[in-house]
This record gives sequence, structure tokens and C-alpha cells, in this order.
Amino acid sequence: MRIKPKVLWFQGITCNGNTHSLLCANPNRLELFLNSFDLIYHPSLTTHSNLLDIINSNEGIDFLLIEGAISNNTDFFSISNSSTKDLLNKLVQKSTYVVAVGSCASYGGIHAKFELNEDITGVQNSLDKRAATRLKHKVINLTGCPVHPEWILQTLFIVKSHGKIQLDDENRPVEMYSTLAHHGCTRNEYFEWKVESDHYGTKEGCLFYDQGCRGPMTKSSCNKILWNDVNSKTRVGMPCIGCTELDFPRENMLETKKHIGIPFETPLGISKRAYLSLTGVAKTFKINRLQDKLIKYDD
Amino acid sequence: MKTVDIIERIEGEAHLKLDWRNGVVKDSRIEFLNFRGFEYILEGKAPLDALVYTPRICGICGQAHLLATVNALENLYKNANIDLEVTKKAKLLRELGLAIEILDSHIKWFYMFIMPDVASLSQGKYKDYQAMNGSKWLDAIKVASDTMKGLAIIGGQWPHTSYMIPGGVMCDPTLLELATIENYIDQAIMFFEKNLSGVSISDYMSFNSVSNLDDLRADLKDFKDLSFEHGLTNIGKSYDKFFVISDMLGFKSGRIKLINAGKINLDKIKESDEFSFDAKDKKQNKKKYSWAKTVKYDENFFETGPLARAMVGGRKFIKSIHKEYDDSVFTRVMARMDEMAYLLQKCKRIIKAVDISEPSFIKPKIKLKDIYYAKAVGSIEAARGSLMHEVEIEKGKIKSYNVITPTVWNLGPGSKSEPGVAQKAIIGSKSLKEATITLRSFDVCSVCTTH
Amino acid sequence: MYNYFSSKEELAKYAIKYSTNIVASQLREINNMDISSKEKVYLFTRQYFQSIKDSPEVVEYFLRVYLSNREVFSNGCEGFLCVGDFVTEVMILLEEGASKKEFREQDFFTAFSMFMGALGGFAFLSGENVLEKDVLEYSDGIAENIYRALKYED
Repeated sequence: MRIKPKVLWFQGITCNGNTHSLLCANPNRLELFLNSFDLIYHPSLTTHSNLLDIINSNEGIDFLLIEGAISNNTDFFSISNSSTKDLLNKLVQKSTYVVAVGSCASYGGIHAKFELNEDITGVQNSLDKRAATRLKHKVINLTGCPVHPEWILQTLFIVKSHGKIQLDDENRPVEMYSTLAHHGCTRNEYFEWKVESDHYGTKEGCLFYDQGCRGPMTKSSCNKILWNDVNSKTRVGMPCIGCTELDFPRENMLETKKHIGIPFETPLGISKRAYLSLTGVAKTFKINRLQDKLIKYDD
Repeated sequence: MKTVDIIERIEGEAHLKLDWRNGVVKDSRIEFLNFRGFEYILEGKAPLDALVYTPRICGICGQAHLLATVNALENLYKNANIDLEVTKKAKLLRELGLAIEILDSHIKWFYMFIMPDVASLSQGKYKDYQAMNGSKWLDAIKVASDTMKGLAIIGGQWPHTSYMIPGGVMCDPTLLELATIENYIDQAIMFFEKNLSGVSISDYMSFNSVSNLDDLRADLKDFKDLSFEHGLTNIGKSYDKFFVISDMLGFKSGRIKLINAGKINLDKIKESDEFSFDAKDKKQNKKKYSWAKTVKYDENFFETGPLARAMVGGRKFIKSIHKEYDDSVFTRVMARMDEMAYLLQKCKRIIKAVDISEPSFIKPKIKLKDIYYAKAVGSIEAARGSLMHEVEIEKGKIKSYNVITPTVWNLGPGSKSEPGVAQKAIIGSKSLKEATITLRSFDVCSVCTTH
Repeated sequence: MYNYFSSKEELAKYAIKYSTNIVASQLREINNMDISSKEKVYLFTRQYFQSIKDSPEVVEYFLRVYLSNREVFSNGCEGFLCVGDFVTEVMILLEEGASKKEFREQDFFTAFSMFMGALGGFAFLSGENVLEKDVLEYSDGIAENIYRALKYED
């Protein structure tokens, strides 16, 4: 590996959210990244390079980062006069490691919901045989909508040092995607004692029962590595929408799917029987401290 | 002679097609060739799901779309004659989020999307503005990242939060949190003072005449010097007509056709796809060359964005610059950076006005799903100008959803006899560099244009 | 048996947990079967009626003692605590039925009361010895009533 590995960022069918997420990395970490890697091309950042020139040159790429979904269709979408699929494969040919940045690049994400183009999918599904067999390391999927900048930086630094990174069944780095979004949420005590939020906009209450929070079913590090260094959605009162999982986007994301008042889905790996038994016990007790306002202001 | 160039660093890409005669652009076309189909995606979805989908129209202005969606959804209740209450606190927290996102966007645009190009006009000097290597480029990204923490405190994260919802907001900040947000704003103010204006923000806000340009120091002085040196005060002029759709953030809604600002009527906004590709038609009519649509007000092209807001709102410094330099590239850029100072102070006032004892959210009396039929519009001012969302719901699902983004106003296609706003601005350019700088002066968001 | 419990209250609590457990494990077994929710209602009703027939005192205990003397159970049997296993099984039955679109959506308690009302009410009648036929012969009729009250409608 070069001392300053060459990184090329390719944009497919995207909203650019992952780019802006990267730019929101801790400023010192971002500077470290720019000094430790040679970002040879990014369509929003670099001015000195041209994508087609790089493709036509002999230049090798250490890390190919792709943001956005891929398609063979050029009626709806083209980059530099080519299809995203075509450019992707040309780039993969020259690359050692391929990282799908964000849910769209990993499996199609939000953009795959555009039904007039049936050919929108993620990087892995878009690799032609030649490109796929040539790769020595599996495509690394960093799901998330957007991805957290630290997940990108840490992946790059680990692979730079160790040459590889362990992936789960969805090809996501195990160390980032083994915890649940639920781990570290500041509303955990409310979850434990089944004190639900009556409605949005409160510091108190768990968002799982009514507001559709997918925290207990979603693999991510959002409450462990905070967003923008300071926070997370669930801490603030917005439910996790499960954007790192392959079923995102789902239907009715801001409410909990229930049948006859009972949640349809229970926390990951926990049976309905176990969850309902525990909930029944917890709900039996009214704990005043948890029913009250968290902070009691004067006047 | 015809040239085609691919333009990047516009939140996506576009093809700039120029027709030259005697070294001058006589006709221009801006082709947006990428379409993601959000309006189609939203059909059949649950109304509240729009709050998750629309921020993903754009990575840099997602919160603008979120607010437009919330306004549209709340107006559905209004149009269905159902009372809905939103507290002042919730409205303020929404505006705060929007304002911070606009600030972030303007900082990034200036240092990432336009200054590298303007600085390169003077070979050799101004190396600090270089993309990637320049110290000013990196400092700007750092400040943008830090300022955004303010939004993360009420939204949970940025990009892509849906903390605004019909009935209010999902967050319930403490005084501590509001104070922290103010800290980040103060840091951004220090950046503005030290790196942009070179004078204190209160001194800057007292500027009211074109002669104050001489009082500028720091990076805005560099921009001013470069503009005068390379004639940016003479290029990029377009129809000189301005449009602002919403009163939020203290802007004034209205339009300027000749001199004075007049009221607007949303019914006079007409979108056309005469030159725009048809998503459902395989064979495209030859006239159609872009995925961007065209939008006019009262059958005229109008510019929207910070310059429009300064003009309609009567901000003296920019009006004075405009009197001297019309709607040139120089005026347009100055208006955008001027808006930063205005918004920074506005953020501080918003924060001070929040009464944390008010509820953040009042549950609507009925669910949107239970309204049989309704139609509504949500309109707001985003970083790049006026943004409009039109939603129609029926039997619990979205029947139709239409988005008109500010970049459509400015960069939508026109005809040879009546070119679009940016097209007209580019006509008369004497070099490709001039043409692209003119294009950039509009702050293009390619992904928003075509959505 | 009296000597094994520290108080009447302890005995009472244990008795209710014991009787509930029987009913709960019956319903759990039925819930785990791969049959329609309608069939589950029928099967459970039949088993419950069989219990009324085989061990009428268990049902009696629940109706006469537990429900009528809630204050005896106030410490340690708060809310659903001691009948929790049974309530959990009813929740599972209802939720699954609604998700399969066999039952319609409604509030949990109104749905729950359809069961308890119909079954409990009938157990009461049986205890009063006013029924004309053997108790099991009424099982399908009651099950049909419960099912129709919960049934999904387009």
C-alpha cells in the first residue's frame, strides 16, 4: 500500500448526502484523512483532475469509494456521457479496494424506489464478471442514509493498516455494524420500564412503542459514535428509521406497526413471547420518577 | 463554433453547451441529464413518509425540503378545514434549523464551488483559495462542519434528519442546548468577521452604500479585487427580475419586475416541460434537452435566491451595489455572502426568542391518513432561493407530489428567443471560464434541479 | 398445603398463578400450531370449556375469589403480574390474527374483553348450573361469537 493511498470518489445516482456527511466529520479527523490519503478525484471537491482522464490512464486506485446507486440505463442518468454501471466497472478494474458508501451504493436505497427505471441497484450487483472476479477483497458496504463519516474514515484507516476488514453477512464491517442503534440511546431507561412517549417533542419516553423507532432492530453505531460529534436522532426525540438495514426505506416509517395495540416487530432476536412477557411486567409498575418530567423547572 | 463542457462542483453535473460567434457566446444551453424521479417515488406513499423521502432530494439542502414538506402537510389540514396548532417555539426551532443549513451551504459554496475558479483568474496569487490544498478551502470546510453541530443539537444529526413534523418538532431542547447552539453561531460569526468581512459583524451590518466596499478586508476584499480586476461586475447580467416566495426568516416575499417590489400570487407560478424530457415517454421530442423543467411567474422568468431576497427585502448595502453593478456576477455573489451576516444575526435572535416552557409538539386532531382528500402547497426560502412543494393526498396515500426547486427558477431551460435566467446571463461571455463562473454565481444544485 | 405458605395471601397468589399457568400453557401450545387464527379461537375455547368441565374449581377460583377480592392480591399481583403469562398468549393470538388479516384492527382491551367476557361469562353460567346441555356443546357457538366479534372486514 502506498504511504498515501490513492482514493477516488465516484458519484452514481445520489443526493450527495454522503459527501456532505463526510464534510461534517470532526474537522481534525477530516484534515488527518486528507493528509493521510491522496484524494485524486471527487466531483464536488477536486478541480485538478478529470474522471475520464483517470479511467483512460494507467493510474491505479487504492480505494474506490462509490456514493449512490448504479444503473445501466442512460435515458434517466448518465455521468460523463456514460452509464453509471459502465463507469463503475471501468473504475473497479483499476482498484484494489471497493467501498460502497451509503445505502444507495450498498443495495440501491431510496433511489431504487423509482420504478420507471427497473435497473437501479447497488455496487455489488452491478459488477460485471471480470471486475467481480478480479477483486481480492469483497466490496465493503457501508450502509446508512447517509453514512456516518467516521465509518468511512475508520474503514479506510483499518484497511490501510491491516489490508483487510472483517465483514458481516451484508458485507458491512462487523465492528461498526454489530451494535444496535439502541445501544447508548439516552432514553434507554424509558425502554427498560416501557414508559412510552405519548407524542413527539418530549425529552422523556421511549420512541419504540408508538413513534416507529427501529433502534432495537437496526445495526448501526449511531448512539455509540455520535453524529456531528454531539448527538443522535433518538437522543433528540426522532425515531431511528433503520436506514442501515436493507429494507430501508419502508412504509409508514414514523409510526410503529401494531396489530390490536401490540407491536408487530420486536427487538432483534427477542421472541414476541419474551418481549410481551417483560413488557407486561414492566407496565404493571408505575414508577413516578420515570412518569414525571425529567427536569423540573422553576416557575 | 459549438462547445460542450461537463461542469462539476454543482452538487451533481451538468453539460454546458455554448454557441460561439467571434469569440462571444451567442447562445447557451444548460443540460441536466440526471433524473431520480422523486415525484414518482412519492406517489402512493403514506403522507408522513414524505418527511423521510424529501430531505433525500438533496444532501446540502435537505432541511429546506423537510420544511417545505411540513408546511405542505400542515396546509393539508388547513385546506381540509381542520384546525392545527403549532407553537411559536416549534416554528422558531424549524427556522433555526433552516437558517443553519443555509449558512453551511453559503460557506461551502463560496470556498468550494466558486472561489477556486475566481482565484485562478489571477495566475499565481491567491493560492490559499485552491481546492484541496488551499488553507482557506480547508478552514471553510472545518467551520461549516462545526456550525452544523448547532443543527445536530436540535435535529439529532445532519445530513438527513426529519425532526420537523406536522404539529411541531420532535426535539425539546434545554437552555444548555440552546446556549451551545449559540456558541456555534458565535464561532461562525468570528469566522465571518475574521475571514470574510475583516470587520466586526455589527460594522458590516451598518454598511449601506456601494462605497462601503472599500471598507471590506479579508476574503471578501479579495473577491472584490478579483471581480474588479477581471470584470465580474460586468458579466452575468440577466433579466434583473427578482422573486421571493416566503416571508420566513424575516425575508419579505414579493417580486420585482421593474423597480418596486410587488405582492405575489402563487397561482401565477407556472411550470412547463416544453424543453424537458418526459419520464414516461421513451421517444423524446427533439425540442427537449434537459431533465430540468421551466418555471415562470406571470409568464416571465425571474431570478430567485439571496440577491432576490436582498432586493425585495430592501437591504441597503446590496441594493446600492446593484444600483451600480446591476445583477452581475459580482452583485449576486456579494448578496449571498451578505445574507450570511444577516442570517447569523437572525439565528441569535431566534435562539433568544425560544421559550422552552412551550410544548414542542401538539398532536394533530386527526391523522393525515384519515383525510379523504386534500391538496396543499408548502413554500419556503431555501439557500438557493424559493422552494415549493405541492402535495395531494387521497384515501390515506399521496396521490401526487410536485417539487419546484430554486435552481429550476434560475437554471430551467428557455428558448432561443426567451432564454432562461442563467442562460441569458451566460450569453455574452467571452471565455469558457467566464461562462462557468457566471453559471456558478447562481449556486447550482444539480440534484435539486431535476430531483 | 396450608403449612407451605406463609399466609393466606401467599396461598391465594400461588393459586391464581397456578391456575393461570394451566390456561396459559394450553393457549401457548395452540399459538404455536400452524393453523388459522379462527381455528385457534375454536380450539382454545374448546380446551377452556374442557377445563371448566374437568376442574370447575379452578375457574371458580378465578371468578369468585380472584376477581372479587383484588385487594388480597394487591401486593405482588399488581396489574397483570400474576396472570401475565396468559395475557401474553392472548396478545400473541390477537396480534397474529390481525397481522394475517383474519382479525380487524381495534384497541387491545376491547379485543381482549371479547375473550374474557365470553369465556368468563360462560364459566359463570356453568358454575350456576343453569345450562341445559353439556357445557362442551356450547363451545363452538361461543367460539363463533368471539370470532365474529374480532373478524376482519374489508
